[in-house]
Amino acid sequence: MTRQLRLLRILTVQEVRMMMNHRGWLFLLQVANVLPPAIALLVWHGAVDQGADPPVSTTYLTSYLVLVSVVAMVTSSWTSGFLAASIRLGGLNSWLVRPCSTHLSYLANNSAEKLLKLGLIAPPVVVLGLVFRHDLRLPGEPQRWLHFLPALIIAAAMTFAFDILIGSLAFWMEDIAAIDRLRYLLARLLSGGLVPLALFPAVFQPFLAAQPFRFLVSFPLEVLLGTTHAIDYAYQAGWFVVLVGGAVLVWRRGLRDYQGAGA
Amino acid sequence: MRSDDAIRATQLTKVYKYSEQAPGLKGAVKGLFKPVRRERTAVDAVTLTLPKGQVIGLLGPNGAGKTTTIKMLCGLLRPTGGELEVLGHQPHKRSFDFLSRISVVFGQKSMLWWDVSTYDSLLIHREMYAIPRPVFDASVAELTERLDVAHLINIPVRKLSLGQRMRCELVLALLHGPDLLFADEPTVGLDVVAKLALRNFLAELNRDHGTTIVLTSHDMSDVAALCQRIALIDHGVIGFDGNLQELRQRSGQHADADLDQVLAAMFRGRS
Amino acid sequence: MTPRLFWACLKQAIRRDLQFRSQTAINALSSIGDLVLGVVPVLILTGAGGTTWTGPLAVVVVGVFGISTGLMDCFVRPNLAKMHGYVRQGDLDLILIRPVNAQVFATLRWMEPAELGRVLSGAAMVAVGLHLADVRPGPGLVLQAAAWAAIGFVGFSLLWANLAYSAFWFDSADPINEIASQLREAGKYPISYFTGAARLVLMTLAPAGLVAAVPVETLTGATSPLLFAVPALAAAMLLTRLHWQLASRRYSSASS
Repeated sequence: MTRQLRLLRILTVQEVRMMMNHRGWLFLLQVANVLPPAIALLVWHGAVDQGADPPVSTTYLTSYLVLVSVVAMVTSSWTSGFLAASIRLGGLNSWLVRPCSTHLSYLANNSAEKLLKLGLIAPPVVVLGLVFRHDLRLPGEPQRWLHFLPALIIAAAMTFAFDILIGSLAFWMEDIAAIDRLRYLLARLLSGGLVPLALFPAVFQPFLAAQPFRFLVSFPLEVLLGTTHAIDYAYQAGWFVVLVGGAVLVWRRGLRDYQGAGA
Repeated sequence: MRSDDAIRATQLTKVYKYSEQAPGLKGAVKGLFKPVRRERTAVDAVTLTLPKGQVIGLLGPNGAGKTTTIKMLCGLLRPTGGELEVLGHQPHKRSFDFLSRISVVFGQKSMLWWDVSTYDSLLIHREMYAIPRPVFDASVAELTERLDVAHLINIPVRKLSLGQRMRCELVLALLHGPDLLFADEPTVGLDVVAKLALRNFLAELNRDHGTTIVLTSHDMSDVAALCQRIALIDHGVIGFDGNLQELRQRSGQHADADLDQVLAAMFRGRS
Repeated sequence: MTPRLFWACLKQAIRRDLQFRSQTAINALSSIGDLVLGVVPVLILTGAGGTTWTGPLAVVVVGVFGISTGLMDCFVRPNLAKMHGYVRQGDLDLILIRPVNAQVFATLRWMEPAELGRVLSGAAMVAVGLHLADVRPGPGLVLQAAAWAAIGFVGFSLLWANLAYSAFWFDSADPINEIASQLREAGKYPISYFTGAARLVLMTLAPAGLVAAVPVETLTGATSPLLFAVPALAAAMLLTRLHWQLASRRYSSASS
């Protein structure tokens, strides 16, 4: 276990150093990530100014949309495509013959990417916050932030597990791109990354509250802004078990059937 | 198993299962509900014992079962039949002890991290194999000297030539002092000078450290120079197991025929 | 670029797509799915009230947006997205040596016919939306709306081209395409939801507002003066041409 932790640390440091070469590229990507919530902020403020009556307060809406790009970035993962390619093309072989899990390297890669991007996404988000400073209310109680942090880390772990689950399908399928695109399409709408789930019509709320995508982006923010109920934590735990358990199961099964692609 | 055997395989078998799909969307849908299952035997009851310290060349045409055999030996594939013990372990369990006593060099795949120097990759392997600092330092010093890469290990790998990179790959692969090395086409794409250097190094490694080496190569001069023993695999079975001289006799070629001609004669008539 | 060359490029693209049928089908479906799911945030917005925009009219805006961006992603975007590679890997040489206008050829060479699925689904949304909103524009208004949509299409494509040409000046300018594409999403919302500076920018500098929102306003009878748009567009074209010339001069002097 100590060996794995030391390995994770040195792999992460290495990944950060390699990614530093692409910091300009990563920064522009972060600017692109902040644009959708910025546009949503503009139109919703325009609507409210003209007398619209959304089901949540303007301060909730503003705080949510200013912070959502940070949460979406931290809880994102880009592992599925890489994992599928490494299974299909045989890159996985170079990991299987060494005493180190391939997932450890993906975990290091994801953590490094998060550390670096956190620094890069901060400037555009701060600008967004300053533009809408009159309606921005960040919670003052340290307790909220203390609850927010684990929710955020669990969300990131769930996305990572989801990615391994989908990437592992490459053990049996030629191309997982279609499934991945379908997942992203659903996630964009149902995770609350684009529109806060609270804005959806009331009839959909019970469904939206229970579906898994909510816990990948929306839930940590709901914890921070203080709009969650006790039952939500049960949903979160349930989906965590489903996704992580599913990933472990599919990976183990796949490894057993693995035909060691590539010459 | 005698403790001085590195590999012992009895009736080792691998059967691939796959489902056949008719072309087009119709075929895909049909395959989903009523898949046509097929089986293909890639390795058919191979029995092979390799004493420690030997260098063996595994040869065979493409698709003969050579790669499948190697992959079972290093734990990438789970055998469907027979018994297999490598260094006293069942490879597919991929235990830490097993993985830290073997090493694999793929001529076509890099194990080095691309955007950093070789030395950075070595540091990662130090943690991966839990190598104590003094052992690490001594090992790096010895390998970089033997492979003449001391001046290269601080340069980002992407800037190295193929020959330089292959030598650095070997430093990484041998850092933890494996007892058994699988070298899969290690000289592919190398120029004559680089090829000779690599060949000499492998011979020295075997002589000085007693490292057991399983070599696959399409370059017959590699095999002739390195291997005390040659096993020919075709259609999933071992058709010949012996030394070079016996192979020449068996093929019925005249005494000064080169190894390519000898092998071509052995495989002639295969479908 | 002669129409025959254009036609040859299109035929080649369709043939390629037919080779990878399942991939093409997935791309077309997800392109349509993007558009259909994209209507949800707009409907939620108009559902909150506050303006004269209704759900059906918002569907028309998203429909026009789908048609326009479908065409853009088929004919314009694939090339601009490749610009970075052209410059950084020296592939531009292969274009500059052809006996055609290099700028136009580099802008129209690659096509993604699968994206045209969005044009069809967008048209369906326009038809359904207009029917539900009970708007029956006369031919004059339709013509004007089409003119605005064309201006928006060309205007935004020009902005995108200028952003893509930044590859000539900067090393890692690749995600600029992602920025352009996210910026364009603003055009999915009725323009009157934007106020102040944002609206001005979306009507001029980054004309995402002209892609769909202004044409649909025109259909409902709220016409905007076309008079200023045409010379502005001509000026933008001239500037883009100038940018290309400066940039490619820099490229040829750097690579020789």
